[in-house]
Amino acid sequence: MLHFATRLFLVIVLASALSAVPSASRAAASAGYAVEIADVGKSSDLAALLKERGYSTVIPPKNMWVADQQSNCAVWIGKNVPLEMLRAVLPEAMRFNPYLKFFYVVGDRGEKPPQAVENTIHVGGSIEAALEKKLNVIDQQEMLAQLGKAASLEELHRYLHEKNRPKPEQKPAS
Amino acid sequence: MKKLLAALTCLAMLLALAVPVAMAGKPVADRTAPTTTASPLGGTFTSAVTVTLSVNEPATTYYTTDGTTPTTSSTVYSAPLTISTTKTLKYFSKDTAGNLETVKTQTYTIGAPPSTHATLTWTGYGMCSTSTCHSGRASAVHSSVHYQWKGDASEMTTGPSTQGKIDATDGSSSMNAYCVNIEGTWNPCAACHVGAGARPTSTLTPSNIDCLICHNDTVNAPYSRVRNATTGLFEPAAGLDMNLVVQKANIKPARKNCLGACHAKAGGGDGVKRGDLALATVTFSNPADDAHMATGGGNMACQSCHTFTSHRVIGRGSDLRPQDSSTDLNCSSTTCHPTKTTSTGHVNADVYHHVGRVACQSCHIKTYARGFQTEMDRDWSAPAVWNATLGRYEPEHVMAGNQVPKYAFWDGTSWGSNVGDAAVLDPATGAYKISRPNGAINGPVGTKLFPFKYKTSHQPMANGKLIALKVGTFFSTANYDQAVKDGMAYMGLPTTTPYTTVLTDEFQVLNHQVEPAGSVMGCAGCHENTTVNLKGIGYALKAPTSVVCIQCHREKTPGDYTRIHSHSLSKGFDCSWCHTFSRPERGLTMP
Ligand code: HEC
Ligand code: HEC
Ligand code: HEC
Ligand code: HEC
Ligand code: HEC
Ligand code: HEC
Repeated sequence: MLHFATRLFLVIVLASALSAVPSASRAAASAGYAVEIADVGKSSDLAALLKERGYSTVIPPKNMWVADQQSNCAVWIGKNVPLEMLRAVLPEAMRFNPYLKFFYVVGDRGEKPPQAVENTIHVGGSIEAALEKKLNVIDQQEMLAQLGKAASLEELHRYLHEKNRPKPEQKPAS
Repeated sequence: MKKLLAALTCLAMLLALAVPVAMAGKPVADRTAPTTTASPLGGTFTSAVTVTLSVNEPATTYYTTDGTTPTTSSTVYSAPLTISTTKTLKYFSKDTAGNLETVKTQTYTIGAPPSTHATLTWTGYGMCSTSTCHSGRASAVHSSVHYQWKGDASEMTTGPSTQGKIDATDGSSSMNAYCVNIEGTWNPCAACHVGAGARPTSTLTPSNIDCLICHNDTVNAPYSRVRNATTGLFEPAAGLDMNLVVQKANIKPARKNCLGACHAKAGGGDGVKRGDLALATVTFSNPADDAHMATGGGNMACQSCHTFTSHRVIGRGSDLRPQDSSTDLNCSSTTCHPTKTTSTGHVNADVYHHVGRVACQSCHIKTYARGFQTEMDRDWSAPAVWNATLGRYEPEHVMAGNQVPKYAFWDGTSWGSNVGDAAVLDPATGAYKISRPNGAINGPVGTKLFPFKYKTSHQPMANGKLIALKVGTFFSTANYDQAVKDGMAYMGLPTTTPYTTVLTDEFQVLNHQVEPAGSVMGCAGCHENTTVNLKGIGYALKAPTSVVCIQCHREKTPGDYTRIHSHSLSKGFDCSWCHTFSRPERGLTMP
């Protein structure tokens, strides 16, 4: 058992070491991963900010499903995207688009997206798709809290899986 | 005893026989209740109104104006009633035979209705459809094809009398070579419906009619709607000044209303389905892109051609199944181009002998998808393409601009393949037919040569039927096989039924993107087979010159098309001397 002071000291050292990690090395951790941002609201400001922090960002050309922040309120999370990157990107994405309310791990329902999609966070997916998938709204505060407390990527994925379970009465009529 | 019984039986039989005879002689007992009509019917009136009650036969009419149900002890109607404050009139009549009519109700609202939109406050979608405002229009919209997504299919020579896009497995639900069919997936399709998100039903639900999608001022108070994340129903987008939106809603639809909300996006993307309509049609400025609608051209609204009467629109085209109105949309009418079908209508005198059999569109639309791209082919069986915004797979498709039409005869009626129909192979195209204009070179007067967008698709077929594959399954899994199986289950086929992927195709008539007068198709465009292969579509000689020409003189070489056709144009011989068809309407000399 370490002394409380020693533990405190260690925590402080660890915390300051973490916060001092230069953006370049954090970016190294995110190499091969990307953030795709739908061209709504101040998407280019968000892209610039994330780029500055070392993430590779893309704003794909608009298509007819890219309308406004309210309609593009989903986040498609690639299943390989590391927890650290989600912790860095999602809070900023929410700050830029207060309407973001659907968070979904692509592949959660057994679909097999292309490899690149598994390494990408797509900010600004269409509400039409979210409703079609019968996803459930996740409050931003709750999502932020969960991001903070999830012990591992798997735990976060499990949380999202539970949250997005279709409500029974909303089962698609087939 | 036996005798008595026999006598009684006889009497009974006599009576039984006699009764009908006796009754035939007497007037039939009156068992029909009288019908009372109020004039005017209830509604909103700016000042006192005089109401007359009339009955269709001698009867006594009883009424109340205090909301209670009238009885035979209520006031008897004797003279027109003056209603000067808002009242509910209830009445019924009793005829001389004692038959009672069921009680009828009319409400007379007295007071000025909002005479102007300028003071309105938004209270929700239902606000437009109240009896003080537009209840009549609401019921008109409700019964229209824009709302019901099905309607009168009397221009179809296949399928039931009512058909449309709305999903059903009774043979009435159309297929197309784009998303195939909506097969139970109402939601994504509803984005393009004039309701507020709920499926259309036969009951009018005012809160499910979105008048604003067509009637909003796209410049000064644009309206857009979003799905409520919980209910899935539409609501105005956040941050809109909805009071202003409704205050400015008394505006006629602009191109942007029709295209931005729906018509440009048919088929699942901008320009995908209609080869001649896209979001670009809203803003085209150069008449070369669309002489009628470009801002530098006619700058016309859609309804300038597609007139609305009681919210029923004219102009079905060739591939849509229902017609909203039985009135046809023609390029030459009393209001538009009235002289163009006459002998002096066109400067070039040669045009006149065409207008009976060659549609205006054929000469005036040389190419389509000018300035944008439209879908030419879609392959559900090919590896799917990821759509990042929708987080889903989409079928591989080929988009292209600047296309040359295909030409076919069309008599105004169409052939269509609906869900559940047996698939029909067209030997001419080698594909299973999805939609066809009906018509032939020797068709009746009114049959003309039209330009079409020709669209192909690769779709599953099982048990001789095209399968409405489950688009939703495909989108989420890219698993074509599973999507086909889900489609078969939807159609009531065992999912183990073997299937194949076949080529399908459809023709869609072109009407928009008319070119300016200066760039009309020249004679050579058709007659020297530069773009239109007329000889290939039935205009070749019916037999070799050694057979045809010698009907009248020795065999000769025809010379060019103007020279040989002096046989019709100046010598007056009917086409059938030399071709397989005749033009009886032209009064030429028949063989
Ligand atoms: C599919 C689009 C569409 C929808 C939905 C629609 N309208 Fe219209 N409406 C039109 C068009 C087009 C016109 C004709 C405009 C013109 O004459 O140029 C029109 C005309 C009108 C007019 C003018 C007078 C008349 O009847 O011709 C009123 C009033 C009106 N609409 C009210 C409504 C109301 C109320 C609703 C909802 C219950 C509604 N509209 C829904 C397209 C639509
Ligand atoms: C210059 C006249 C004109 C204008 C303007 C016009 N249309 Fe058309 N449209 C036609 C004609 C003609 C038809 C064919 C009618 C028929 O054969 O039944 C047609 C057919 C259609 C059809 C049926 C499917 C098809 O394409 O064959 C749709 C949908 C349509 N038009 C939508 C629109 C929209 C939306 C606008 C406004 C952006 C518009 N139209 C403007 C003339 C016009
Ligand atoms: C066989 C081809 C052909 C057909 C069919 C045809 N046109 Fe034309 N159109 C022409 C040619 C060539 C011109 C230019 C010179 C002229 O007026 O003859 C023209 C010119 C026009 C013009 C512009 C001239 C002006 O008045 O400013 C209009 C409008 C027009 N046509 C409308 C129509 C309508 C409506 C129809 C169908 C009833 C029709 N055309 C059918 C070939 C055709
Ligand atoms: C869009 C294609 C098209 C264009 C452009 C066109 N034609 Fe034709 N033409 C036809 C068709 C189709 C027929 C046959 C009509 C029928 O079936 O009754 C025809 C018929 C004819 C005939 C046969 C005789 C007759 O009385 O019908 C002559 C001659 C002719 N066209 C000359 C011309 C001339 C001259 C021009 C240019 C001013 C012209 N055409 C432009 C398609 C075209
Ligand atoms: C229905 C009768 C009839 C048929 C069929 C017919 N012709 Fe003629 N043709 C005439 C007549 C009548 C004349 C004018 C008198 C004459 O010069 O013999 C004529 C004249 C001609 C001429 C010379 C003058 C001109 O108008 O060019 C040529 C060339 C000609 N025909 C070619 C043909 C060819 C080629 C065929 C077969 C494809 C044919 N004709 C079929 C009736 C016919
Ligand atoms: C005297 C014979 C004769 C008569 C009558 C005749 N045609 Fe033709 N037509 C021809 C010949 C020959 C050709 C060329 C066929 C070929 O090369 O295969 C032709 C070709 C055509 C073509 C297509 C080729 C092109 O370049 O124009 C059209 C369209 C046509 N005729 C329309 C008509 C119509 C419409 C009538 C009646 C109003 C008519 N023809 C009457 C002899 C005739």
